[in-house]
Order: sequence, then structure tokens, then C-alpha cells
Amino acid sequence: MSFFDSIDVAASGLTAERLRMDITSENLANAQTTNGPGGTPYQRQEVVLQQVGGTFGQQLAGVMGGTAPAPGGVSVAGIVKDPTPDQLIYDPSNPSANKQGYVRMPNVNSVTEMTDLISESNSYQADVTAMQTAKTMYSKTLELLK
Amino acid sequence: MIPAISGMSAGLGGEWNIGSIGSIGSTSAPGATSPASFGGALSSALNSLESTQAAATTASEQLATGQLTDPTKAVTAVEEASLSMDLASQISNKLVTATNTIFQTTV
Repeated sequence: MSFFDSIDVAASGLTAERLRMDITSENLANAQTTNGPGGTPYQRQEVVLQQVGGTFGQQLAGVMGGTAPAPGGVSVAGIVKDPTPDQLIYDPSNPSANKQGYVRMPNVNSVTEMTDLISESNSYQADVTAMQTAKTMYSKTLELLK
Repeated sequence: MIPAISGMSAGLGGEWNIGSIGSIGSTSAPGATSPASFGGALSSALNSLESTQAAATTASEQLATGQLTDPTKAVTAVEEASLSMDLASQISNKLVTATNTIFQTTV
């Protein structure tokens, strides 16, 4: 394992958190979108993360051989849609309202999205700190040569 | 040589094998060099240093022209280039110091 691996692992975390931030922004931006693709309301999206080198075969080899795979960071397994049902809001003046005057609004809860934003921001800062610490460690090692 | 320093530079075991320095030019191909000789080790180290610098330059250019969608890649490339350069300059300083020490030896 080379010394730069810790920097690369932290960088993969930065990339993943940035994508999570993108998806949360998308959810917030479309919190009132009643006309999504196909005429249905916008459906909330979530990012699923997975460990790099964490496939079943590699995990099995690690357990059988006793040598765990080298850390490779995190990667995005996919972006999935939240299956929570849409909210029904009574608003007869809305052009998207049905005969009874109800509008199907997206299943986006602003409060949940705001807490997600805070969590993503904190994770991003943690990754930046890890990268900075790895860099400082390497620089300190180089100072031994002075 | 001081044992602590020679232990630290165990990877450069043949560093006093001055006769092999002349073969740097012929062993410039990366991967083909034998790390056993000092010239080969120096040559492959310089080649990897050059490749990290080139990667950093490419990443910076792509970031400036908007081709790079992930700024993290540019940051890591530049950081790795910078740290590799620090390591190379420290080793170079160390070699210069060692050479001066030899030259100042009173016989």
C-alpha cells in the first residue's frame, strides 16, 4: 500500500459526498414539482454508497485467506428512488388538481433534506481533514531527511 | 556511514556504486531499469516524478478549461505531484550533503 492511498481514499469520499449533495439539492429544488416525467409528481432520490473492493468474492477471499482486501475507498452503487407515497394536498385552484381538488405533491420533506445537507457537509469536512492529516504525516516524514 | 541513515536508505543499497551511474542514459525506459543499481533507482524515481508532474499539469489544464467534472481529481493529482517533488528534493539535498562530506574529508 503506497502512502498516497490514504489521499486517494479520502478523495473518493469527497467525490461521493459531492454527489450526495447534488442529489439533495435536486430533491430540494423539485420539492414542489407536480409535473415530473410522465405527468407524475417528482419522486425523491437517494444515493446508495458501497465500499470499493467490497464485492462478495473479495470479501469471501478475505475471510477464507485471512487477508482483508486493501482499502480502496467508497464508490456510488447507484441512485435509487424513494418509494414513499406522494403527499395529497387540498388545493382546488392548482391546475394539477384532480376532480376532488387534491394535488399529488412530491414525497420530499424539506426538513429531512436539510438534515441530510448538514450530514453531507460534516462528512465532506471529515474527508478533507483525513486528506490533510495524511498530507501532514507525509510532510513530517520528509522533514526527517532535513 | 552512520548506521541509522544507511538503514533508512536501504532501498538505495548500491548508492556508492558510482560506476553504474554512466548507464543512466541506456536504462531510461521505465520498468526496464533494475532498482539494484543506484543509476536505475534514480532513473525510475525521476520517471515516476515526471509522470506525477504531467498528471498534475493535465488535471489543472482540464480544470481550467472546464473538461474536468470532478475537482477532487485535480486536487489529489496536484498534491501527489507536490509531495513527490518534496521527497525528490530532500533526497537530492541529502546526496549533495553526502558528496560534500566526502570531498571535505582530509586524507
